[in-house]
Amino acid sequence: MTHRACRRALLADQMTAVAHRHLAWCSPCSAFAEALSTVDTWRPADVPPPPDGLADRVVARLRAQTAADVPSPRRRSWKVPGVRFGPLAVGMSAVALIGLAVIAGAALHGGHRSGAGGGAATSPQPLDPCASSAHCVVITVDIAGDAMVSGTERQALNLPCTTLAAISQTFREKPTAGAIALPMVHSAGGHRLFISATIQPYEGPGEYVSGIGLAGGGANPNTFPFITIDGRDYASGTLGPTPRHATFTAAVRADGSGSLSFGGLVDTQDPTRTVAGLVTWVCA
Amino acid sequence: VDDSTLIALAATGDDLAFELLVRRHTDAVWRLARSLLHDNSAAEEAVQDTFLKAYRALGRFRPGAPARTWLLVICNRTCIDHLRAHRGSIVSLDELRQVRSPQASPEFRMAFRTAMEDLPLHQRQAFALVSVLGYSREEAAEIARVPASTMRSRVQRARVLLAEALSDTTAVEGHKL
Repeated sequence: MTHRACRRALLADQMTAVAHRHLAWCSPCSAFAEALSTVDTWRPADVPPPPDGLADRVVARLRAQTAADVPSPRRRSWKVPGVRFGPLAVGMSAVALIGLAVIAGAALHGGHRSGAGGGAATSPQPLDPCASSAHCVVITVDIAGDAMVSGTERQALNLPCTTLAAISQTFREKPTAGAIALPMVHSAGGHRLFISATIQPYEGPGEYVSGIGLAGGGANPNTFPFITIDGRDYASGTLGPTPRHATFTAAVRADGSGSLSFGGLVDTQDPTRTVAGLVTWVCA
Repeated sequence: VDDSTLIALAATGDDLAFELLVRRHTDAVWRLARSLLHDNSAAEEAVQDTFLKAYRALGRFRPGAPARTWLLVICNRTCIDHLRAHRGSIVSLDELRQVRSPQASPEFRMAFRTAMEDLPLHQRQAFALVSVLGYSREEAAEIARVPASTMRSRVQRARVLLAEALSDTTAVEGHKL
């Protein structure tokens, strides 16, 4: 048997007795057989999982790129004011530092409760989270519709509001991917809340009608991001025969204060229920 | 909601639907890009480029075709373009440590690395799709947009080239694999 025939048999995994005998005395073919075995059993280390926030960054880049494109009359762009909104937890990795700065020092569940809800009136008055902080943000929440919330939350900051408002985190040297996390709301008026939103691209203080995304549920590929009110999730969109999209506007002022308004958030358990609301914050 | 519906919605301008598609398939696209490029940064760039190209090509999506394969086809082309533009991309040393024999000598690892780098692009791609990612030859052929017979021959050729390169090393070094 020739070397060539032996290798053909090896590659086809059709080794005959003759081929085996050849292999027994032929050093080059034996080396080839061992090498082939190594190649066939070789596996690289498991492909590492995607880096955190990759999908968010993909979406952010899509927004930035499509906004830069000349809009086709057929398409609705992410940047068409008042029509589109950023529904996803955009750039959460990018904004993590900012978000941490916002919530740093805040008592996650100890926000000062007040307002019409009054459900926490019987609870002991928590300590003011701003008592020992040089910087404080006071958040006012008003939500109406199929869930009603009215109240405030105070949070300590470890940075002046003006600094936060001026920050525009960049990604991979692409300024268009700048992002800011708006103050995260945990409770107001005796209600447990989770309201976390980002603006991306963030280009500094101003009015925003696009690029606003919610963070809730952002890691789940099959759900729209949402806010949570007393354990119920209200999503920023639904699909189906008649897709529904929530609407968002936001404003950030140079002094760090600002507002986030939203409408048409849909209860994920009962799509007939919707909420709208306004979150404002001022720095003290 | 299935992928076809999402693409149909996205094609009519529903960007939310496309964003869901992105979230659903980011992992698969990442795995392909990372396997072909062996570099996190390049792979992330390829993933982003893939979805951007897909977004712009929504109108050309063939209804009923599997969306994942469609995205992987785009990703595959994107990675090939990247490899052509950055000739010399390497197999990472971490991956070489996974070579079967833990006692593999540095010379052997270098030989493996060299052999991988020396593989023609299409054969390296075929080897990655089938041997690394575990796609069937038929799936790999669809992703690479070549006939299944071509994919089979590319994989086979990659095996031969790698084995020849490695057997030369073992013959010279007397190295036990």
